[in-house]
Amino acid sequence: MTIVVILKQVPDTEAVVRPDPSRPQGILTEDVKFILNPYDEFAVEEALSIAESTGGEVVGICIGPAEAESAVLTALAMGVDRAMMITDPGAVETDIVTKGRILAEAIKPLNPSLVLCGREWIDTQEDALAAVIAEYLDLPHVGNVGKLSVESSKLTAVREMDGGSLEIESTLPAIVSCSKDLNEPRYPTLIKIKRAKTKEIKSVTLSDLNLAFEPPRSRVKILSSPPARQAGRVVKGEPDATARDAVAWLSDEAKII
Amino acid sequence: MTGILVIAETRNGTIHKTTREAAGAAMELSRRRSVPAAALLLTETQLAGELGALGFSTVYTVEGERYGKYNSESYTAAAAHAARQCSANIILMGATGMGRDLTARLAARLNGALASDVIRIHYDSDPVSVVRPVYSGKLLAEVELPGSPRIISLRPNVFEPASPSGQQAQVVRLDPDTASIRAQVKQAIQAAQGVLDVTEADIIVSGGRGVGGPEGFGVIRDLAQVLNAAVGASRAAVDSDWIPYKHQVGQTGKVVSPVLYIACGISGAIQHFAGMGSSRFIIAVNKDPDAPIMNKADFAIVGDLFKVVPVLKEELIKILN
Amino acid sequence: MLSVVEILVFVALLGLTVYGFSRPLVMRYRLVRLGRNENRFDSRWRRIVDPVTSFFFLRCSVKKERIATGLIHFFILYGSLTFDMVSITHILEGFKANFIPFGHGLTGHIWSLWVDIFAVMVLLAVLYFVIRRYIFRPDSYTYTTLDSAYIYLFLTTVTATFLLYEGGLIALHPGHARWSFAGTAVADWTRVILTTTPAMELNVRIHWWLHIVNVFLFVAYVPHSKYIHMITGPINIAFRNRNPVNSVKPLDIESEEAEVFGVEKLTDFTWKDLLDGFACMDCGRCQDYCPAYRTEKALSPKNIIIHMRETLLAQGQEHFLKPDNGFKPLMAGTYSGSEIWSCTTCGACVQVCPVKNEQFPKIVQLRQSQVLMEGTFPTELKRVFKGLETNANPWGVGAATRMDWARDLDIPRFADHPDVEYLLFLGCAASFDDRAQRVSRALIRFLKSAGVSFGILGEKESCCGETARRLGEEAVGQTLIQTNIELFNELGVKKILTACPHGYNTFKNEYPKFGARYEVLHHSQLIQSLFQQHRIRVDAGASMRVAVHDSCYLGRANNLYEPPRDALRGVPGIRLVEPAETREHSFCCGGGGGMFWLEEEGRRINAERWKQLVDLKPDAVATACPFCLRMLEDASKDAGQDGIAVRDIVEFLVSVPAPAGTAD
Repeated sequence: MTIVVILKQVPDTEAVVRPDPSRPQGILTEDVKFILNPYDEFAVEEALSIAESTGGEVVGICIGPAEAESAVLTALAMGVDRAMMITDPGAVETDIVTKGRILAEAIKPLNPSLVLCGREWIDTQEDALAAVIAEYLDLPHVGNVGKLSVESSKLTAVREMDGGSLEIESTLPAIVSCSKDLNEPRYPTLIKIKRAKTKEIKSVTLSDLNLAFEPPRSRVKILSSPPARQAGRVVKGEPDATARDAVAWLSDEAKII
Repeated sequence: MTGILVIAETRNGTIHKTTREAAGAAMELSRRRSVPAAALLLTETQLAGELGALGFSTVYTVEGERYGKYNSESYTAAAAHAARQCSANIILMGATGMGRDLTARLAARLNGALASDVIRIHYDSDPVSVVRPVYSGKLLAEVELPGSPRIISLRPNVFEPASPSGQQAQVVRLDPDTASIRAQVKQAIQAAQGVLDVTEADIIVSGGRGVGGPEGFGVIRDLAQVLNAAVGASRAAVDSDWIPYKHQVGQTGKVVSPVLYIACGISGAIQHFAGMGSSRFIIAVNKDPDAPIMNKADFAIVGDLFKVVPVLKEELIKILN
Repeated sequence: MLSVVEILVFVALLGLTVYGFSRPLVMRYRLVRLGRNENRFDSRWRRIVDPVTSFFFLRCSVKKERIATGLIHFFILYGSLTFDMVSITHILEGFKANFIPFGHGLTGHIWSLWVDIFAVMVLLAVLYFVIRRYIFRPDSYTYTTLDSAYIYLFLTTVTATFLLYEGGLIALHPGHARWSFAGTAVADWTRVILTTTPAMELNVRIHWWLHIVNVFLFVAYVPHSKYIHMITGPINIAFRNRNPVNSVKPLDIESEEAEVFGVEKLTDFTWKDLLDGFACMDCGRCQDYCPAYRTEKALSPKNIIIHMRETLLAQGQEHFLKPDNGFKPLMAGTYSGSEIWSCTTCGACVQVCPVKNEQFPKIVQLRQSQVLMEGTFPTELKRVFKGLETNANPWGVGAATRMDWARDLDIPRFADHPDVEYLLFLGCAASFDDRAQRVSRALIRFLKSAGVSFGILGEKESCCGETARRLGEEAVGQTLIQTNIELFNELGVKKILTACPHGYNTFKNEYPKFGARYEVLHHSQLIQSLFQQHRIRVDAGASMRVAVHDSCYLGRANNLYEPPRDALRGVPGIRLVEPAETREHSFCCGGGGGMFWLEEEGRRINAERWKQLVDLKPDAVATACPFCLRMLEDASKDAGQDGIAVRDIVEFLVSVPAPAGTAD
């Protein structure tokens, strides 16, 4: 079976991100290390282990600027067979729903049995991709999957949701977004990184996909830093009083309960 | 397309808090833009009246087995149908697991604009613009939504919930297109209390050397149960065989990033911090005011955990009920 | 005199013996040559002198560890050399009637005495070994029991048949006795049992043959046995590693042709690695001093060598028969993951090995193939590697937060003050570990008060590369090294000062292999020299018993035992106490070799070391390494003995108030 994995490059989780004063919808990228979206690694791992047991090809598709090739290389080093990159600004600088539509068009000719993506993009904090692609391909999707088994014509997935989980059975083809409980992604070793450089990365344009430029449905107007997190509060005293303070803080300031 | 639609969620015979919050935002939009707000109730339709009383002009309901449990395909079909019924321009929902999933598919179905986990709505801007956290909350993005309709999920516990008015809503039963359902829910698995894995829990209560022994984890477990949290531990506690390794959080244990991490009797050295430093909020309880964790916690309590934690539990029970 | 038939039989036996001895030796030579090339032909003079002196003065085995066994080896060695000579004279006696070795003069007399002394000594030595091995049964001897039995048996039969022959001869010709006290004693007994001359002649003939047959059998047996170390040991010492002990050989990671990075199969080892297998006499000293083995982990450095040898004998000989048969991966059968991932690279194994085998470097090379080829390693390491790659520290904490701990301190930046003398390289522990941060505070305070001119790199500082390389992630390690070298060169760094022995070792012994040479100073050396130059003086404090813990990377790896001690001696009131295992025998804290970032299986090494230190009833424990500090302090807390403070040496020199903000 052919499995498609959606890839994205994002700033490292520990990176200091600051709005770019000259372009307030973007961030300053110097001193920022970029990586393959961590959740995408779970998708890649899952795709590879399914392909290893069923046979078949794993194709990575990435929307991103040319520099995102390093994230694609990470996926290729992990074992993805070949990749496609869509670097059109009209695809790179648009919203997630439009991206999903573009990806759906790119996926169609591959006719995959399964499309996998990470449960969330950690940069934009969006987790809509699986559902959007599925909708444009008119296929079922299961989001935030922590356990997955794939047979020839159906899959069984455990979707994690709001403190519990749902066991879902779906026909194939289907789109699944992967959470970190799914597996332990393999390590892109030096030898595999070297071999990845010889693998195909095909550049695909919007016109290759017969898509015209479409204005974004949503766009970031401005990025700003949230109000500086208050320095931690230290309280001491009677247990009753300190515990009450903590609960008040949890509900009024942290707004967790 | 002018209307506002709120997609409701219910739990065990009550309207979910996030739905009340979405209703609050919907009422604000409705008032400022002078457009009607409708709600869609897919489950526990006996709550239609109560939902309507939050200020909606119409409450759409659906009936049938396929709405019994959340299913993205049937729910999307129903929501799209309701949206067309009321010519919804703005669709709101709580950013729960279901909310985020449904809004995503719905946005594509309606070819609209999507904004998820929104923490602020600029009610008067045109087109609607919203604020949502990005880059793990390190930045806030003001996002404008020129596309239409706008499907927005709202971060829980942020918006003011709508309060019931005397208003009576019109209840309209819809019969949406029944497209084939290909992804079926086989069963719902409820997480058993107290056995949550640290990597999947939103809240973790952790014990360290200060817990003193295996029986010391009793108070930690009690608190975890109240919060539906997982129990974590530092290496020191695991090495002393007070608790199994699967609970270990830190460099050589599990790496976690819960919403709330409560560290009890843990000094918080880098080996531990590397495993939980990305938690959104940290509460520390420690006798030693100089312990490294006290600097890193958002809320640090200097005191004996055996005195503080039980009180904390009692106070939480009070507020949670 | 031998008859013609006997001569023919003798020549046939001699031929068989030569064949029996040389065939396995040639095979072993061919097996060793299966290894990769490596140049071990530098400093030739030392490579000749070292093995010669090791051999004749037994510098290999007469060391602090097992001193009695070492001394008794003198009898075995010189006994063996004597009997090699005896074998020649013995044959001559068979061929020439009335041949008397060295005649009846003084030389002959001394020779007869010498031979008998060593005959007796060899027998006593064998007795010692038999008692030790089969009655006391030390753990290190559990391996080659049967081989040892054969060797003891041959040593006994060869010596005994000689004495019976000599005694028989003296019984026949009392004039041959000279000073042969043992032969004379045997002769007395012979004369009691045998009364006729023909019987005595037959007796001599039988024992001549018994002795020579035993000698030949022994000779033919030697290449199959660990006794071959008599030959391979000195050769191994000749080709010993003359570079710093703990310095990972750079891999050519840029190579596009390389099929293998690190050691995957036997043939990825160098010939010298393979030679180690035949030099090893299974004595188990390495195992005795291995912190992993001592805490019941899967690793024994001895087994790393022995299992390599066994695999080499099996797969290598098969390879010669069927050249198409490839060599199997070593991690499939020869070694296990738990073995190679529990080495702290403390270097004790290499330190105590009599034949200078290189045990732990093999482990690092095995790790390299596991990481660079297979991607098979304990899962927690992935985070370490990614952390090093993206944030230049093993915890993966944001690189930009590296100096967060020092916000309240005014520390000169090297970039702003290029004229300062030292680059103070703090290192990852000193920047991210709260305990080590306190040492950094103390160090900076000390340097300022001592008027030392220094600057730091600040957020631009990257990990030195040490951890990644010891964990086998050579690609990440070399990237970090290159990053640092570029930065150092850009800033014009000449002297590096660091409080981390791991960084010290890396800058001093590994960076030069990447073309970057700096004058590298550990803070203990700086403090030592400041004391020696009377540039600092510390006021007398309370009197204190301070237990010294040597860091492996300062001590064994770089021979710096005195600087930390001198730094402490400079503080009036401090009395140093040394644990039983100290200096070159120092027991590791358990944190080296990247083990600091791994979950430890079984008993903890730091707890073991802590016990040794606490036995000294110290008021405080001193170390000069941030990792030792953290490991030992953890151990003190685990043991509920945190009343005994663990401190870095510089913390004995200055007291530092808690950083602002922690004590409100």
